[in-house]
Amino acid sequence: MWVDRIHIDEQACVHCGECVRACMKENPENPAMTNIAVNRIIEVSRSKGEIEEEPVLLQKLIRMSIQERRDFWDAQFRKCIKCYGCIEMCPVYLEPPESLRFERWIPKGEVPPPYPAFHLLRAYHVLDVCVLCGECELTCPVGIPLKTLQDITQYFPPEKVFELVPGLDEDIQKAIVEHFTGVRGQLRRMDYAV
Amino acid sequence: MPFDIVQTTCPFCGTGCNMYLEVLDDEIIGVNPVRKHPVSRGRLCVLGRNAHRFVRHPERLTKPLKRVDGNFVEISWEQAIDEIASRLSKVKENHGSDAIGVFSSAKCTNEENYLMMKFARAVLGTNNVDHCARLCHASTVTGLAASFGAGAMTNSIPEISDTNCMLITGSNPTSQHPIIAGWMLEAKERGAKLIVIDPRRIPISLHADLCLPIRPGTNIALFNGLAHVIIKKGLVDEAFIKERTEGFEELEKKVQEYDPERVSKITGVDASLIEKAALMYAEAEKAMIFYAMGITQHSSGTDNVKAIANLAMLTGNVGRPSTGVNPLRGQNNVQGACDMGALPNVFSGYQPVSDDASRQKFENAWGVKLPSSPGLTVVEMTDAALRGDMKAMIIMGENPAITDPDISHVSRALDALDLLVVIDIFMTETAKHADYVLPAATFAEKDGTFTNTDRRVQRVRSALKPVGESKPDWEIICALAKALGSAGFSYESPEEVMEEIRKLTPSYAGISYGRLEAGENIQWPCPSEEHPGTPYLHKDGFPRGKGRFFGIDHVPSKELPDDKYPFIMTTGRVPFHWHSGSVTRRIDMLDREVPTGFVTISFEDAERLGIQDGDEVTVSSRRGSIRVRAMVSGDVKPGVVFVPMHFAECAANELTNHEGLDPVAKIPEFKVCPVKIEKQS
Repeated sequence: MWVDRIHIDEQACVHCGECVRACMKENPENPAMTNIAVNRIIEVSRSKGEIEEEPVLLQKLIRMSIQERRDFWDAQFRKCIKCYGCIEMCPVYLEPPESLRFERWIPKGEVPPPYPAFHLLRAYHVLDVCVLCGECELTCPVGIPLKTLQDITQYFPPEKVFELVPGLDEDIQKAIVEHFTGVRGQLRRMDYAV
Repeated sequence: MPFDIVQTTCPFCGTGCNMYLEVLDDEIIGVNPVRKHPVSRGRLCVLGRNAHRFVRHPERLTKPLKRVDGNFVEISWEQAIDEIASRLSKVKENHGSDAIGVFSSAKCTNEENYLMMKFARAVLGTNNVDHCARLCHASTVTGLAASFGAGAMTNSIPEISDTNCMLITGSNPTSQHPIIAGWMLEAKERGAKLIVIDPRRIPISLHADLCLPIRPGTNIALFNGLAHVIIKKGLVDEAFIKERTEGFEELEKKVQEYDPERVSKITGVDASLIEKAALMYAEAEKAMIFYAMGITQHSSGTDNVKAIANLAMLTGNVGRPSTGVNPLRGQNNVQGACDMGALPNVFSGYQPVSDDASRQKFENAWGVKLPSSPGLTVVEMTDAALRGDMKAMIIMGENPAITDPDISHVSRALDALDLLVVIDIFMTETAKHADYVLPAATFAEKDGTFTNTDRRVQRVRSALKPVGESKPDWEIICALAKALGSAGFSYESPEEVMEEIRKLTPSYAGISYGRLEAGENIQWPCPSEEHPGTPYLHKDGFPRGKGRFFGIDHVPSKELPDDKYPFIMTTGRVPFHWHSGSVTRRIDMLDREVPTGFVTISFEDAERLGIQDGDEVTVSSRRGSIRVRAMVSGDVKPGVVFVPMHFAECAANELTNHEGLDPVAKIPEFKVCPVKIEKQS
């Protein structure tokens, strides 16, 4: 395999296969473009006035009012059928800390699970290990934008997350903040979204 | 450490999602969805994601069992097959062929169902072969056959993404067909309208434009009401009606009596909602109707289906992409089991046994004389057993002791038999009544094909060797047939069976293992090897020529609530379990979510009876009673209660009635059962 020729950090690799898809030798019909190539194309098209900028979901969310955000996530999370696919397909998911376990907060057998505790808890289960591969969103049978939720928890401090996904109970907020205080280093940065 | 990845089809509902089984050292360690599959698109539901967890369950049957003095003892395959064969031939000699009945299985492959019906007809010489489709979509087969001439989902699942309006009635797709629900929700977000007609508030109602909370058992009145409004507002597709249908006058005359006010009184749905729903459905350019058990499991099941077909034809929503009448079928291969002729009145491809030409064709192919009069259905066979007319039964992969109506009646019937042979993977409630229990292989241990709800024929591939001495069902049937002296059962593989099916079944003629292995996704009818398959039916004409409108009257359910039994109980499923629970209750993760049954009761009724959420209550009907936990909820209307069917210790079917059958489809009335509720002191 061509992929064998590149250096892969065995400790970090989650076997997502994106490198194979990106490689134009492995995937000659539809290779992914490098970020540099994409940026150049965008630059040229923008200078010609060819592209209309459609904000990505995260940008739209940031511009919404708090009620609009609440309505948005409520409509999305209501679709949940609790298949646990977002957890099954997650390449980095490990048993969550005691204080954030589902058993503690989420009633069994209820569909859709209570808004937004189930989804935010899950997102925080993988807070320090998420590689933003997006498998959770790809496998979601009802199409909840879970990658965007992942982005939010990864790029914003908890206070901001609870505002971008409003409506989480105080006690769960407290459990999350307490667990991650001091555990977490620097947040990832994503200046262009904001 | 041999590692392998095997692509196969999910063994739960009729959606037909594909999955990869990851096999390490003769054990399945995981399930992965298949991204390129046209229906599942890399998605799976909670059942599919856990599908591997029962394959090597410690409670799997591994040896043939024989009942000796009330206890099961292990015996060898040779002994089991010999003894069963000699006892079957004795029954046949003494009481005639029709004293033997066969339950085939919608969980088994097409090949196995074909062999089972061939075994019943060619070896045993009886048409008494049926399977659980009788209890789910029998009315679809009869109803749509009368209206269109073919009883299957008219359109395909991927077409949902282009529709403008979806009408869901008597189906709970987020629980029962979650992957199809995903397609629906996607269409809804794109702007399609969504109408939900259901006595309960189901999860998908949260996304609906209109919810019509109908009183159970009043479907025909409601559909007539919708047709009334559509005709009155002039929203009918006149060109379609003129060219493609007949009997419009009959319908027009009948539905005149069903103005929204009258319908509102019968159904309990607001007249304005009925008008709105009619306009929403009829004004859409492409509208799809989805339905399931809430329509079919009534004593008026066949007529309910005809009333739905009326609506679709009235608005020209048949024979085009993203339209149609779409029964969502419950079992992985219930479509296939019907196609294969595991029904008392037809051979494979719905060729009637009473038709001389088709019988001749099968007689020539199999080299035996075949019986010409249609056999008994599932419910009729149990009745016959209790009367003493039925002496022996073979049940493959079904659990009527939980899933059939009025199960104490079923238990008595099973005990009355001289010989009961059960072929299954677990010791089910039915198997406990058996004289012989033969261990079968699961979906992951055998080859074959399943046909999903939109008529897609897909491969099932063996990933493991069968556990212990268990065998694939097709091998068991062949062994039995050979022991009974039949020559026509020497098959090397399911592929050979498929070759025979293709020769005898026009709609499957072009579907070969070669094409499926090459990655083709074929939907029947597929009459030749060159044919690409048929994504939607009735494009140029109906199989019966013209589509037929029926003027149908609302008939009340057979048993109605009264002072003694004031509530209507309706039955159904929960997302985490599957039918009789013999598989899903053995999967930890699913059992943890919903460990036992419950009864959902409205706030108003609960308050009146002094019942609190979580209280233990007794639910009883004229047949029996069960003790369950009450779940007080706004999901049901006052007067209606809901009990899930999966749980043997508090089975909804203790209460249901086996007598109010649909006259044509013989489907029992699972969805309307008067009950009373008492608080446990």
